[in-house]
Amino acid sequence: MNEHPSPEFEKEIRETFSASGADPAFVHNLRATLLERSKMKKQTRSFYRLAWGLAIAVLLIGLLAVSPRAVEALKQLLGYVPGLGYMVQGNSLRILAAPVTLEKDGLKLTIAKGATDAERTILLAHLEGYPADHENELNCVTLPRLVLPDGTTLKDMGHESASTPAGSYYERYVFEAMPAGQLEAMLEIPCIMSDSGFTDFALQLNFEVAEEGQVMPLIELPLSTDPAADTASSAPSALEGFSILLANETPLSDGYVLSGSYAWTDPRFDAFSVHPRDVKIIDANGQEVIFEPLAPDSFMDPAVKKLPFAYQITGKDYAYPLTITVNSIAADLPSGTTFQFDAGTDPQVGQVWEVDIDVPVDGHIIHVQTIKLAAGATPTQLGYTFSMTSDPSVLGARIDDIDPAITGSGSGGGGGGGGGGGGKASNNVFECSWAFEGYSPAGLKTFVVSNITIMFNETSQATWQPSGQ
Amino acid sequence: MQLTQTKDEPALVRTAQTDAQAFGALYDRYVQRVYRYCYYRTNSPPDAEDLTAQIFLAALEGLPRYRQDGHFAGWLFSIARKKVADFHRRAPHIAHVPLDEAALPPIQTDLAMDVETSQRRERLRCLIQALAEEEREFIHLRYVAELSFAEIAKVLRKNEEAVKKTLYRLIARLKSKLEADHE
Repeated sequence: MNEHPSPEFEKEIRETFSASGADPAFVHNLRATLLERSKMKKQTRSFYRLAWGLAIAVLLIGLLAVSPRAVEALKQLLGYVPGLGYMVQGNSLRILAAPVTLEKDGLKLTIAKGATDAERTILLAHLEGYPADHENELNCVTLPRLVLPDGTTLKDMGHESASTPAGSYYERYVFEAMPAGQLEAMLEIPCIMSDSGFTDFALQLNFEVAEEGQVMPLIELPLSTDPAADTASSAPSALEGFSILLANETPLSDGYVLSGSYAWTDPRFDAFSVHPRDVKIIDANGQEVIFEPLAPDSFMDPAVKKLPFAYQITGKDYAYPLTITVNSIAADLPSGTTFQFDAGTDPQVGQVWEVDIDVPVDGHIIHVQTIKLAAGATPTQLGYTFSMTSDPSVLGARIDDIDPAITGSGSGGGGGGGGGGGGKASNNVFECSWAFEGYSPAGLKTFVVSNITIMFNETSQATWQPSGQ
Repeated sequence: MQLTQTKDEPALVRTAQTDAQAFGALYDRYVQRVYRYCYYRTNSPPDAEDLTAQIFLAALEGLPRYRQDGHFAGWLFSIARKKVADFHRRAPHIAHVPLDEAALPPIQTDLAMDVETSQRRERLRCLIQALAEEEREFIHLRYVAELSFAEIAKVLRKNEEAVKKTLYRLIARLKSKLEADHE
């Protein structure tokens, strides 16, 4: 009875389920919504990182203005709290006095580490016993709160989750800083793991002023003169002057934190537009080194073409030196190239124009295959979807209406709306779409290719070994 | 029919955990399968659209917590299965409507299809609808969601071999009933 069924009969079963798929407009709109949401999540995280960096920058500039000797003091200012990241040292830095555990509803929640400085409060939670079949119960959106004894609630500044194959979950909560001198707070978690099945967890947290030894120092690294610490490619299509600059190391009991920045000189790319991908670290024997990225110790300066990074290296037992390799780099190239398109007097939602327009952008040809009029998230949102191809190095492109005509919906011409870019599909077609509330799609349109994302498949390396070795 | 993941999928999933564009590529790969699964579980295009949106939003939120085990499709359809179950819990009137002929999605017919083939498909459809809900779920996961046995095992938290045996028995039973009816 357990013989493999015949392919013919399986085909018959499949044909029984032969209803057509989802409406393309629905598929398209949902895609745009998801990508937009994904970008917003990323931007929120970046914002906090940037805000933190900028806050430190202001502090640093202030110190420099007071005394030239402050440069030396800067190195003392930041310290690394294992498990939590870079914190501002000094009297404002308080560390969780002891881990706190709450067992409830079959779960064991431990706040394993915590610290608060002049800028923020960070708590690291470890959760055990959470049922794996609840992993996707994301049905509670009430955010956790950090409440002071006087009832003041500190704002949630975001949290990140991670899990291990063994079924342990880690959550990193970030709240506003606790006021100076404050040593007590209550962490209230309305629902664990955003799961309404596990509610109302509250833990009393006690902090103490950080002592020496609880904060690891940053050791400044000499400027690398290693010829390997540079881009290995000199091809014209390379990202000009890309290099990996190592700045500080922090020895931990079980590894190191290495920080620095990716720098480039290419005049085409601004401060926030370069994103190294596929970063690997190997030791002198070719063994892969386990590391994870951390929030960096320096800030992103809009005027400087540098992207700070920090990596926590797990373990110390490696054959040194270690080699950090960036295998590819994605970069957003701004553009202002325009093209025109006439949608006619009465374009209809779902209408597709096969336009086949070539738009040259910095040596690349963006071939706009089709333009489609699409509805947005609401019936009054309208916009266009552009299907494009280009050479293999182009990952995507953003196209906008240079002067979008918005008809007021009773509010005197209000616009709004949004949209999303698209990834490159297997057939090398990529899409960009957007929709505006009250957008008027008719007539002659001037569209602008606002930016394109280019992939540089080049290898850059830097080497490092711990100080004193 | 593609029943197994493509070779690049683990890398794509890893990238999608931090990269919106890669998530878009995963979405492109699975949206129709998720929609069709929801459609055949609800018999309603608007509900299938709502559920598809909920499933991908949950996947987007949950992806950073996804533990790489090589069965992304299994993970995604675990979300889908839960969302559909929630939908039926919240809307019991829908779940309790008898799955009569009128409520079933129509079979796409082809003008060239002979009457006999058409009748056979209709009968097969009725036989599938008459299966117990758990049995029907095996069929949906295999022939609508296009999951491999390993992926179905992950979704249903069963042993892969047990999944294979159950499906084979189920298909043999359907075939036997269909042929008995025909005779």
